[in-house]
This record gives sequence, structure tokens and C-alpha cells, in this order.
Amino acid sequence: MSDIISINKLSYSYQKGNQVLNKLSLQVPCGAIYGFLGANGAGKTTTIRSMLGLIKPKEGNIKIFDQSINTTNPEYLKNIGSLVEAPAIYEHLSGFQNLKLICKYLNIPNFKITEVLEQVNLLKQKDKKTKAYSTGMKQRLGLAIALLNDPDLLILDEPTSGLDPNGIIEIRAIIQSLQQSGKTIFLSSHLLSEIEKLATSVGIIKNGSMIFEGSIEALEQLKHKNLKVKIRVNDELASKNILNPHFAIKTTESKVLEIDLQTEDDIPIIIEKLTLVKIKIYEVSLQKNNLEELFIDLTNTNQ
Amino acid sequence: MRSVTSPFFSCIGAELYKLKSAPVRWLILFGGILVPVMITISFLSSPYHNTTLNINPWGYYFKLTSDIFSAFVFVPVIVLITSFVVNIEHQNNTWKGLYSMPIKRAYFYFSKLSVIILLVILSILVYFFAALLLGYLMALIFPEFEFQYYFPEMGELVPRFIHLMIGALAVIGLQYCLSMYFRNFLMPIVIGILGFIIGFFVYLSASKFGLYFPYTQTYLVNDLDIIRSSLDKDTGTFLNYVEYASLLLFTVFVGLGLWLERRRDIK
Repeated sequence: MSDIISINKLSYSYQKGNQVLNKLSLQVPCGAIYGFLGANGAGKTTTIRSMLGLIKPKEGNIKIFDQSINTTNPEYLKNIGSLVEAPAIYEHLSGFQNLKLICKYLNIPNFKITEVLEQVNLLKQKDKKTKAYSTGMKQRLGLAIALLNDPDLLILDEPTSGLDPNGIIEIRAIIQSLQQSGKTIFLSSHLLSEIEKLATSVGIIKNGSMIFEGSIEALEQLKHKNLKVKIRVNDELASKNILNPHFAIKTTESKVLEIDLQTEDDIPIIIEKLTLVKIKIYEVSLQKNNLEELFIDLTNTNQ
Repeated sequence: MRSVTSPFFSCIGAELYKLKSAPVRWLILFGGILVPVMITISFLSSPYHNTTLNINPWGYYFKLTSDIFSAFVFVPVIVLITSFVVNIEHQNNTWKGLYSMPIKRAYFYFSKLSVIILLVILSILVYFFAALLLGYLMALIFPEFEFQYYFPEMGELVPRFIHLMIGALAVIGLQYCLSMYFRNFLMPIVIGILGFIIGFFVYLSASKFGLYFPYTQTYLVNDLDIIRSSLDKDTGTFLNYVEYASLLLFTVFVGLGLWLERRRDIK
């Protein structure tokens, strides 16, 4: 699978000394949902703005569809639909009028409007002024605007931000159906659950640099490498003495040990070691390290 | 099948569509009818003062209304139109949406400017038709005005409006540049209104500086006999010296605005 977006050593600073992007590199495979994960202020939106030519990076190179982007000639944007943070919509116009406006700019036939409105489930509210739209409806309209020119690549910056659970589910379903129709989706989010549910590839950004990039499977493997088990025992000190040479142990509460595992096979070994010296075990619980913990781990260890 | 329209004309179509149900139409209507309504009320309140039998009343009537319109209404209307048109993008935070489209920034820039110029021309037309309509209305109420027996001298009026429009280009260019630069509605309006007040005093002082001060040029452009003649040089062309200065300043301000806009990062 070839890369549809390729960013190489991208750097950007808003003011002197305030480096937002620091030699960021990433590759987005064709047909993927690429989850671009990072805390607020990590540089996600700046990366997206650079890709769309809204800001000019100081260093580095961005290639989209195998072409280096040129901010003075935005022809490369023809095949890209985007939604950057809050959707850019005119609140004095209706949803339909907003879409018609984009059709006028891009010489798109009007029948496409109904198509995209259906796609984002907004057909019934199309004649309502957008100032009366809920946040979810505005996000869906923003998505409809992004879809209007039937792009091969969609760049979506936090599309579920500010939505209620139903809104999140709706947007998620739309994104999945878009990927199934062959589109590549670059999706930024600080919501790990979102990326976990949608993405096929992941990039994790911190302080403007990429700290992890790979498939969701590679991330899953990392996840299993960070297994933990919590064991409640009657004698905390004796347990620690027995296990300490072999395992890293933390005590989170009284008589509860939190032990880092290499694999799940470590669990019976620990139990055996403890029962051999007659330590009573009241509870054993596997702490599956979810993406969120992994994300926190990754961002902490790379500081 | 996609229709093939030049990006510039597509942008103009979109800009005009964007103004649908925007308050700028009320501004143009109000700005256009204000002076004719005031003059009509003044004529009707003392009709015998304003009756000149057997002389075409349209000449005096249009001279009076257009002098007041160009001196006191036109510049504020330009300031407001420019700010309204540009503020649609600031208010809705839609620059990122526009500049994410496969269209060069220059097309957005010049299409917006063209729409502003069209709206300014429209405000002159609204003024003209309002004045015309009210002239005939006065003839119905008080036939002694004799508006019904004559026609406006279009040969005088059309060049007058063309001169006014060209003289206003520097203000349009400057206000456009300011509206694009300042990301809020009020700042360009405050600067524009201050400029308008200063412009009035510069005009009264008959200073040569007025020839190059955009906010004074609309006063000077139609003042063919009083102050400008003492400052102006005869160019021997249809355009007078003030209009050449206005065209030059317009080019400078529009060029500067475009340069800033193309360099601007959308954060």
C-alpha cells in the first residue's frame, strides 16, 4: 500500500522560541483511517493546517498524492476534503445554502448537495438557519462540506469534539462508511477511545514530535507488553521480598501489589511463588493496559 | 457535468450568494434613500422657497442631493459596506474553509473587492432612483415644482457619478486593506469614521494634503469650482488630478492588502 500523505521533518513555530512542530515525520497509507493522537497543544491542528496550506512551515516537506504541496498554488487541494476544528459555516445561511455556496466556489453541480446531506443524515434540517443547529448538526454539516467534491482524502480535525454520545456514534459510523467506500481518512483526536475504535494506523504526537507510528496491531502488541496484575495478599512485605528479584512491584494501596508482567504466563508463576511460602491470596486481577494508559506511558517516557 | 466557470467569476457568484439575507442590503437601501428623503421633506416643508418656474428643477435638486450624499453619506456607507463584507468571514471564522479550497487566495481577494465595488455602485444607483422617484412624488403633491415637465440631465449626472466613484476608490482600497488586516468589525470602522471626520476638516482647510488623503478625495472630486480648483492641476483628460491620485492610492492599498493576505497564516 503506497503512502497518500508523507511528511518529512516538519517544523513550525508561532513565535520565536515557541516550537509547535519539531521535525515531525509521518506516513499515511492509502485507504487507511489514520488516527493522529496527541494531547491538546501537541501540534495536531498545526500539522493539519500545514497540510492544507493554511500556514507555511519553516522547515520540512509535505507530500500529498506524491506531490510536494505548494501554498501559492492550491491545486493539490482538489482531491482533499477537510474539517478543521469547528466547521467553517456561515450562520446566517441554512445548511443547504452553505453547501450551495461551496458548489458555487468549486463549480460543483447542485444535485451533489442532496447526496451529501443524505450521507450525513441532515436532509430534514437542510432549510434551517445554521445558527439554530446543534454542535452535532454543525459537525455533520462540516463533514458534508468536506464530502461535497467527493475527495479521495479526508482530513478531519477532532470531528467528534463537543458532541454528545449519540453524535459521536453517528460521526463514527459515517467515517467508517467513508473508509469502506475507499477513501483515506486522516483523523486527529485527543480521545483515545475514538482512535482505538476507528483507526487502522496510528501516529502519536507529543510536543510537536512523533513518538509512535504504526498499525493498530503494532500498538496492540505494545499494549500487551505493558500488562499489569493486581494481587491482594495478607502479607505485603513478605510478598515483595519473594517477588522483587523477578518483577517490578508497586504498592498502590495497603496489602495490594501492582506487578508489571512480561506476558500473561507470569501470573501462575507469581501465584505459585506466593503460595509456596504460605502467603494468602485474596484477589488477583489483570490490569489490561488500555490505549489510554499506554498513551500516558508513551508520552511520559519520551519526555 | 461540471460547468466550467473561471475561478474568479465563481468566487464573485459565491460572494454575492453569501450576502443573501445579510444586513448589508439594508445599509445600502438606507444610505441611498436618506438624503433624497431629507431633501424631499425640506422641499415640501417650504415649497415656495424651492419653486423656480420655467427652469428645469432636476439640476438644482440633483446638485443639492448629490453634494450632500457625497459629502456626508457616501464615505460612511463605503466604510460600513467594506467592513460588513469582510466581517462575514471574521465573524464566522470561515477563512480556513475558504483557503482550504483549491482556489488561489488572490481570487478570493479580488472577488471580495469586486463585490464591494459593485455594492458601492449599487448604493449610488439606489440614491439616484430614490431621488428620481421622490422628485416625481413631489410633483404629484406640489405640481408647482415642475418636476413633471422636465427630465434629469443624464449627460451631467452620469459623469458626476463616475467621478464620484473613481474619487472613492482610494477609500475603498484603504478600508478593504484595513478590514482584511484587523480581525474584528469595529477597528476598521473606527479608523474609517475618524478618517472621514479628519477628511472633512482637511477639505475645509483647503490644504494640498487633501489631494492625497483618501477621505478628502470624495469631497474634492465633485467640488469643481471652490477648493479643488485652487489645488488641482488641469490634466486635460476626462479624469481630474484627484481621480488620478485616487486610482494610484487604490492600486497601492489593494497591492499591499494582497501582499499581506498571501503571507498570512490562518491560525
